[in-house]
Amino acid sequence: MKGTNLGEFEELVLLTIAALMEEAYSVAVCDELTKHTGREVKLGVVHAVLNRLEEKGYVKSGLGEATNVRGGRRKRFYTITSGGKATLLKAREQRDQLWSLIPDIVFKGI
Amino acid sequence: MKPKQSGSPRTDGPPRWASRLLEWYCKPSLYEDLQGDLLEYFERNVEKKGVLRAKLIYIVDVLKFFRTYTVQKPQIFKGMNQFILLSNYFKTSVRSMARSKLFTTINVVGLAISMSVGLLLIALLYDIQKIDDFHTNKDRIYRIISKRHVSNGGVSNFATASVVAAERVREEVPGVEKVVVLNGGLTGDVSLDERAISVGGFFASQEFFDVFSFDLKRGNPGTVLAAPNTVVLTESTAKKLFGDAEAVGKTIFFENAGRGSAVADKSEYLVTGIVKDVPPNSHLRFNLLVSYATLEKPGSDASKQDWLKDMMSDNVYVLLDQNNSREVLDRNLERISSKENAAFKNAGTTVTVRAQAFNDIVPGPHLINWRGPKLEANTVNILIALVVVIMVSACFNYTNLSIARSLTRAKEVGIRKVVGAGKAHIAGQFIVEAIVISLLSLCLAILLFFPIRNEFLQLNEFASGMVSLSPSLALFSLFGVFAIAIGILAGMVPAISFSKIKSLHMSGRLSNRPMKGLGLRRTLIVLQYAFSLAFITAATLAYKQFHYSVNFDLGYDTKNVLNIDLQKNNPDVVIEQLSQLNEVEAVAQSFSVMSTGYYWYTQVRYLGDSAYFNFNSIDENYIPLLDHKLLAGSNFHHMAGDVKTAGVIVNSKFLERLHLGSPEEAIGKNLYFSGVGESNVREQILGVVEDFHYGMLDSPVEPFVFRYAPQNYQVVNVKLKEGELLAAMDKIEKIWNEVDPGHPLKAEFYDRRIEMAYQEYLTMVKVVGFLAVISLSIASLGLLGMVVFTTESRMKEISIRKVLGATEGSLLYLLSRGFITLLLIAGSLAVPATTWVFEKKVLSNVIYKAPVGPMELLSGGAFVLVLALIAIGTQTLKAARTNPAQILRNE
Repeated sequence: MKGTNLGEFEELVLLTIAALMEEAYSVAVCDELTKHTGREVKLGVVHAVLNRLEEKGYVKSGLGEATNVRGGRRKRFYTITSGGKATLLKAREQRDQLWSLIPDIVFKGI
Repeated sequence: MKPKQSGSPRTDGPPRWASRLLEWYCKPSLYEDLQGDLLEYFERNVEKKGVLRAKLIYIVDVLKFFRTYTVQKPQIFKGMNQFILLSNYFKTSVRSMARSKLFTTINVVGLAISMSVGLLLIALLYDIQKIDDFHTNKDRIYRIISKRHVSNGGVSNFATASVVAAERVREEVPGVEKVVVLNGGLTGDVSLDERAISVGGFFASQEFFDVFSFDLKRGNPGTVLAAPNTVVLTESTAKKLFGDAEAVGKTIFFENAGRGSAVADKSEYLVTGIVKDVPPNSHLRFNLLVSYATLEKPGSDASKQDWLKDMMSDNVYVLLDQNNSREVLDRNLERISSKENAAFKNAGTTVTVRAQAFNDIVPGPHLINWRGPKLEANTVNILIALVVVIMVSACFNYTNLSIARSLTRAKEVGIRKVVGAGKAHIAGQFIVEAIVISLLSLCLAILLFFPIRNEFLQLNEFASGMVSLSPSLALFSLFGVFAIAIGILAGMVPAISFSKIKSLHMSGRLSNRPMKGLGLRRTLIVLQYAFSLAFITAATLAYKQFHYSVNFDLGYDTKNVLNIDLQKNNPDVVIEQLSQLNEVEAVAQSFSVMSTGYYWYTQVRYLGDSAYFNFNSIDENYIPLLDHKLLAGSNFHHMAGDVKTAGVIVNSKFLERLHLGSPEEAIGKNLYFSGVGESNVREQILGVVEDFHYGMLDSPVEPFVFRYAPQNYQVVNVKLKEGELLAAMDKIEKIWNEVDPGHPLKAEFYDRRIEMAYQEYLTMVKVVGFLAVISLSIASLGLLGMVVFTTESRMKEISIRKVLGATEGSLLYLLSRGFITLLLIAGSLAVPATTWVFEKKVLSNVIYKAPVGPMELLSGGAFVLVLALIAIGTQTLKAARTNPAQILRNE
């Protein structure tokens, strides 16, 4: 597997999944990301990322119940795995460490 | 956040093809939710942006999702599955065919009959594409052909062109590599010592072997035909003359019988080359070639070149060089034509030359003066159309019967579907079944193909020896492909309609449901019968026209007149011997046999007016022998020797054309003739005869002139006494053999000769009649199948009616009523339509048409009706006679 590092967008998607808990499926993730980042997020991109995250073992997925929206098609719900959680935590930790290295003077005046 | 609507209306759903595309490429594991996401977006977009944009976005999204991780790998196993199922399909097909033997037989026989014609067409097309394909330059060779406009509006197309055109093209047109001129009037005897054989061929200019790819075995291709009086023999001719001895460099004698005056009799020729025998697929046929330079010798009549008069003698072929296209040639030919026509202001007659691609020669348009084998492109196209009609008709039958049987097969399909077969599987099964039937038919069709082929080869119009239709491996593989294609075509509609059946609807109660698609099947039956009736009507009309043409009152009497080809013998000897026979009433001589489609022209001038006229040279006995009626003046008087001016006898139209007044006034007026070997010869009008048909019935009665020219006679006309024809023929043959032991007698009765001239109608009767038989049998088989099916599926109804007191007669009426209505509709469509097409299209340029009465038209229809009634009657009677207790005992 090429690297266990998270890409920037991957991290966002993974965070969204964690935030949405039980309701995380592709369209919802898309909407949520659009809402919070303010940039237009394409379904195709999200789909590809979800797929990659699952490959890396950070999320797992399962089909939900059929409803009468979406032409009766079931949704694929994603939940974050412990591996995913660990990676997120690690990423956050790294960031915090790096943040702590920055002298206050750098951001002064902003 | 999520749209709370309960599904989009069906009509405004996303494009189905896009969804199918997604389903096709997407991994099954990803498909469902991906499809769901797209639908969700679609619904959202419909609200926000409207249906149209939503659809567009949907399509774009489907295309965008085509990514490495979504696309499923090509599945070999899926294909294998189908393949494994094939054997199962095959097995079920055979079983279901065995279960309903009658339907299978009807299908196989019907398809086989029509397929045999299809095979014939394939064999023919296969041979046609091989015609002339051995010439390496075939894409660069063009033939120059002429179109002649006569002042009275007549247009005729000739396969020939003037030598003037050849010369000018050779000299003036850029990009022309070679021009070869062929003169086709070469027939006669070659002799060496006492051996003589009849040959035919061309006077050919020296470029012949550079342009065409005939295989010259001996001699130098560039020079064999350069010098006057040189010949090239084919291998078989050389073998006949010289045996195994060396032929090149030897001298032979050649006596040209065609166009007598062009070359001196019995000249010596030097053999300069030997060419391999001409392959049968060549449109140029010869067994010897004489150098064109022989014709061009000073004093011979080709040295005078005339744009108009010479256009009928020579075939001109042009070889373009590699870089030049046809357009340059076309433009130049146009220019040359207009220049030459401007120079020859000749009674309003103009000749335009144009190029004809080598591949368009055979099969090609109808052209006058082409002596070689012909095959008209129109004939081929008509044939293709007819065969397509027949094939489609047979496929209709299959479709028709299969759909009719859908009730029986519906349960099987239902169970297959319940067990898990998809649409494609069901369709595959029915297509395999159709292919199996079609291959079975192919075996039968190949058996039928051989007798049909032999018949076909005897029809001159198609064969002319260029096509052999001989079976070959390539041909048989084409047949196989054809059969499979027909199977797929025939199985298509049943396959699709079966695959659409919903498994829920397959329950037993279906059999009581009124049949669906009845309208379609009715239309098919009407169409089939309409085609059959059309063929029958066309055959009847063609026969009628033939009968009419042959018995047409030509204006003179051809009964019991025997025409003997003189073949260069001394007419006086022949006539003297013939006149001594008891059976002979009278003997006359003439130049050509009239009313058989051969035309000879001469130019006549009267005062300032001149025009071309048809003519014949006759002797003094001809007019009484053929019973031409003299209106004024007198017949020719006997004159001996080389007569130049014995006067002429003309017909009434001639007087009209040159404004010569009444017959009595015209007698004694002077005309000036310019024809082959003469110019401005003065002739007096000696007599006037009643108008008669010189041409065939496609042309009106035209002006005509009889001349008296003993040096021109080629035919002896013998009037025989009634009732002694056979005896007379024997004696005449005996006399001939004494006079000319070297050549067999060429004699033919005038009436027979006229029949031969109208042979095309008989051919049409044969071909169309054959097609009628085929399409009628297909239609009858189809009808029979339909009747069997309908009666069987209505057995219960019939039984109940019978129990309630219906008579056999009323049941018969009930069951056959529908079918007979269909036949009547077919008849009322087909007969008038065919009559119209025949009158307006086929006979469009025939002036004299046979009157068509209702009897001829209705008799064909009546025959078909009787046939159909037999098919319907036997089946319905059988049904009406069944004991109702047997059918109803289970109820």
